[in-house]
Amino acid sequence: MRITPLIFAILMVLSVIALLSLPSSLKSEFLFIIPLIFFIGFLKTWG
Amino acid sequence: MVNLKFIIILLSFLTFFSFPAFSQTQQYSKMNLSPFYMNSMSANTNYTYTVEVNPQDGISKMISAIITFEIYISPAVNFSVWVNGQPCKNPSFSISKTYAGIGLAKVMFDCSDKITGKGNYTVTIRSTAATGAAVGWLEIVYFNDPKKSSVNVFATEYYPNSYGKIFFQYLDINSQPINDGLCTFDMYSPNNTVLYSNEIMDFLENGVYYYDFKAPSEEGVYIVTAECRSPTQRIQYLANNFTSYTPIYSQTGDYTYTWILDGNNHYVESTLTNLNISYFFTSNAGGFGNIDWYGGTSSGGVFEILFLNCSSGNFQSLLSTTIPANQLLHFSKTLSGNFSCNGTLEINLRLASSGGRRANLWTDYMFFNLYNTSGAIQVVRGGGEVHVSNLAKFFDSFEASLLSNHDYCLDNTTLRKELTVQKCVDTLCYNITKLEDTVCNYGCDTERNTCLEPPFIRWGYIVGLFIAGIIIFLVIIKLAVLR
Repeated sequence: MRITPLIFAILMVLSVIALLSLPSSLKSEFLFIIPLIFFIGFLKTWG
Repeated sequence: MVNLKFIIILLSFLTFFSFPAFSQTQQYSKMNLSPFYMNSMSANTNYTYTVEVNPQDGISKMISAIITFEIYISPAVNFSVWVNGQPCKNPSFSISKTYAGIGLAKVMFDCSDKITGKGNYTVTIRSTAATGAAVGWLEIVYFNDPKKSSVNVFATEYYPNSYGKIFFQYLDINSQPINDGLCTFDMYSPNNTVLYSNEIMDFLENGVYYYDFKAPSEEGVYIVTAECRSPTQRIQYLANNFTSYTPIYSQTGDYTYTWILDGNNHYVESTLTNLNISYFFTSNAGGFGNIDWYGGTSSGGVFEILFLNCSSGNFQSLLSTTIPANQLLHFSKTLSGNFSCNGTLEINLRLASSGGRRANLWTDYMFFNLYNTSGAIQVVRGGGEVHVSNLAKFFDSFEASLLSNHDYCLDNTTLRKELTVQKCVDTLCYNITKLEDTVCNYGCDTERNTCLEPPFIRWGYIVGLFIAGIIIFLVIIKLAVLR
C-alpha cells in the first residue's frame, strides 16, 4: 500500500474542512490553492 | 470593576455639602492714604495718593466711604478730590476766611459712590492755594461678607447597622482650620423625626470634627445639620472623688492619678467578675459636655461608661463595648444635649470581665469638658446627608460570582463587552452588569464577535497558511523521494 498518496488525500480533505470552517473575514479563494496543491501531490504520487 | 469604584466615588461626592451661613455685621475701618504725610501742597497742583481697600472679612455692602485730610492752611482755600479720576459726591471742600483762621483744617469728602468695594483706589487732591503739611485717611463703614467661613459636612453611603463617621471641617474666612470650636450636629431620620440632637463632635485635627455613629436600620436619606461655634469657653473638670460600688480586691493610686496622661494609673480590681466604680466632678456651669477616658484592663470584657447629671437621678449610658485586655484605650463620649449643673457630676465605669476573672480597670487620664458657648462671637452652620442603603453593603463587598462575560457586535463598527456579576447580601442578590463599547476601526466581525484586524494582518494570516501548505507539500514529496 502506498502511504504518500494516502497522506496527501487525508491532508486534502482536512484542508478543505479547515478552510470551510474559517471565519468569513479570513476566508479567501486564494487559500483553496492549498487543497489543490495536496490534490496535485496525490495525483503525482499515485501514478 | 472600574464603574463600581466610580459610582462609589460619585455617591460620596454627592453627599458633600458646604453651606456658608455667617450673618453680616456692620463694620468700621480706617485706613491711611499712602503716602500718609505730605509736607506741603502747592496751589493748583494735583497730589496723588493710593489706598487699598481689602478688609479681611470682606465687603458685602459699602455704607459710607469718607476721605479726610488734615491740612495746615491759610484760608481761603478750596480743595478738590478725585477717586480714580472721578469726583466724589462733594467734589470740593471750601474753607473761607470768614469761618476759619490760620491753622489746622479738616477737609472731608464723601466718596461712597466711588469706593464701593474691595480694590486699589487712587485719590487725587488739589487745592487752590498753597498749604502746609497734610495727612489723609479713608474711613469706611460697611457690612462685612464673612461667607467664606464654612462648615463642610462630609458623610457617605452606609448600610443598615454599619458603623459610620460624620465629620466636618471648620474653616475661617481664610480657609484656615479652627481647632478650638464647638461643633454639634443634628440628624433627622427619613420621616423627619430627630435621631440625634445637639451631639458634640470630637476634634481630630486641622479643623476636623467627627462623630462615630451606628447607621440606623431603616434605609433612606438622613438629613444632617451642623453647627460650629467659636470661640467658646471650655472648662475642664478633673475628678475630685472616687467610690467603688463593688468590693475592692486591690487598688493602686487614687483619683488624683487620673489627672494627667503620664502612665501612672489609678488601678482598681474587684473581688468579683464585675467592677462598678464612679468618679465625681464638681460643676458650676452649663453647656455642652464631653467625657474623655484613657485607660485599660488586664481582664478584658464588656466595658460601660455612664453619666449621672446632678439634676437627674438616672444614669445616661454613653458607651457599651467589648474591650481587649492589656491595651491603652481612649474613649471620648459626648453628652446628649445642653445641660446645666451646679453640683456633682458622676462618671460611672463598669466592666464585666471575660473568662471569669476578677474584673479590673486602670484609668490613666480622665476629664470632663464643659463647653460654654455664651461668649460665642460667631456661629457657622452647614448641612449634608447620610445615605443608608443595602446597596452600600454591595459596594463594600469584594466578593462576587461571575454570571456572564461575553462580547458581541453592537453594530458594524462597535464591539460591546458585557460582564455580569452577582453580589449577594444575605438572601438579597443584585446583578451588576458592566458594559464597555469599543469602536472597531476595521469593522466588527459578527462571527467571531471581535474587532476585525487591519487588512495587512488578515493577508498575513492567509499568506502564512498558504506558505505552510506549500512547505507541507514539499516535505511530504521529499520524504516520498527518499523512500
